[in-house]
This record gives sequence, structure tokens and C-alpha cells, in this order.
Amino acid sequence: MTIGGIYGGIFTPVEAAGVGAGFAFLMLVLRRRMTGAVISHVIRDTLRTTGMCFLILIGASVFAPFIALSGLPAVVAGRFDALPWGRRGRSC
Amino acid sequence: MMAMGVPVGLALLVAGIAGTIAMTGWSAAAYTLSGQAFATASYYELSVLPLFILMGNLASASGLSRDLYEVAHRWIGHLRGGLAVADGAGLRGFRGAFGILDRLGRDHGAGGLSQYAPLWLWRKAVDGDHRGGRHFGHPDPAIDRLCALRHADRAIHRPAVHRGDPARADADRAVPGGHRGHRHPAPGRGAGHAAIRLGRALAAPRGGRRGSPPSCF
Repeated sequence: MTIGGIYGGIFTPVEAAGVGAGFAFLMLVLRRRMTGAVISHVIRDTLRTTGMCFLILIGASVFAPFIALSGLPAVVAGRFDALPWGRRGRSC
Repeated sequence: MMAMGVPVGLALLVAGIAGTIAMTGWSAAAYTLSGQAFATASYYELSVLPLFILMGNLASASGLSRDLYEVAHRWIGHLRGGLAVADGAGLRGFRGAFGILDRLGRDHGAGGLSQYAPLWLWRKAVDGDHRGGRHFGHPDPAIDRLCALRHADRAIHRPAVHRGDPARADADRAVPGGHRGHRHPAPGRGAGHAAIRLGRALAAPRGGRRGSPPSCF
């Protein structure tokens, strides 16, 4: 449903994610599996995984300016350009 | 840091902050940390991440995932070699890309891979030895696997066995000196031969008695 909605132009990806989560929650209710322990486990697991993903993203977004400041990309590109690979071997 | 077991995100964060402090000072590092962290966390498109993760967790908790697997298992689980169906799709793709498997099928008189299901191809490739013996089903899984690998390798070099057949002359030339006239060459020093030696060592009966190796060796 989410993939079909995205490809069909019905949802944006964010909306599709929300609709999918909503229907999954509905299924949880309809299947009579919604207990406090299950909800707690689901929320904790979601927070843990989301936190890990965002920590990587934030770390990368802090690390990238440092790499740019250090001038490493320019040095590496210069070294590659200096290699005797001919015209087709140039990196830029 | 990552080699020491520090989580990836934390290692990137610490390295980035330390490097920025060393190069530009505290204020720039604090600005980068606060600004970038907030900008990343408030990025609208990234809000799909927690929602999809929540959806997956809810589906798992409600048993949807297990039921979907059960449905798939009941639909195609009764077919023998259900896993090989996926492998077969990959094999067919590789055949289209490289064509080597088609040649493999012809070398065994199969008339090409297209007549066979992929599982049949491998059965043909592995069981196609002149001795025609039993090659699969050895009680030791390691030996069984080595048998399959060994015969798959031999099947690729198989044109040398058909020396003299005009239809396979080009194939003979393709393997100059390779295994020609030796159906069971002595193992050399390569990694493949080391595997063969290991298989022979595993196949040797315990107690010092020298017996015949399994049929595939």
C-alpha cells in the first residue's frame, strides 16, 4: 500500500510512512495484540533505532565540515590528478 | 575509533568535533555542532525514518511479518528447492551477462542452459562426470560441498576431456595444457587445490587405514 501509494502519486513518501504506520497500528488493534508491554517495546525499539540513525547522520554532518576544512578532498584530488593516467584518468 | 568498537555515529561526531576544535577553535566547533545537529534533526524528509521504523515494529508486533512469511511458505514452500528459484533467477541473469553457463550446459551435451531449470543446470554440471557416480549426498557436509565445488570447477575445464572432438576444438584450445589427459590431476599449490587436499584429508578414514576417497575426488 505504501509503495503503491508512492508510485501511484497518491502519497508523498512522508505521508506514505505515516499511513503505513497508522495501518500497522490498526492491524495491531484488530488482532487484539495491543498490550502495554507490546506498545512499550515497540516505542522503545523505534526510539533506539531512530536515535542510532540520527546519531550517524548528525555525526556525518559534523564530520563533513571538518574534512572540508582540513583540505583533504583537494589534496586527494590533486594526488589523483598527478597520477600518470592520461587524459581519461583525470578526476575532474 | 570504529576499530575499537565505538559506534559509527559517535566516532564521526567525536572526530569531527575534535578536528574542528583543533583547526578553528571552540566557538566554530560549538557552532557547527549545534547548527548541524539541529539542521539534520529537523530535516523534513528525514521524518520518514522513524515512521517507517515504527511501521515495521508495529507490523512485527502484530504478527503481520510472520503471517506474510507463512503465506509465502505455503504458496511456494512445497516446491522442492524453493531457495534455488531465487538462485536460478540470478543464474539466468549471469548467463545473459556472461554466457559462460550456456557453454557449461553444452559441454555436458545438454544443448544449452535454456532447456533446463537452473537447478537442473547445477545437477548436470556436477553429476556430468564421466564416471557418472553419486556426487551429492555425502554424509559429511564439508565433503559434499567440496564435491560440488570440485565438479563445478571440472565442468568449466571440461572441454579438455573432450579432446579430439572437432566440435569442441575451440574449447580445447581455450584450456591450453589445462587438465588435458588428466581426469584427476594431482593437486598443486593454489587455493582450489588446497581445498581439494582438505577434502581428501577429510575423506580419509580415521584410524590410519587408507581407503578410497569419496567418489567425487
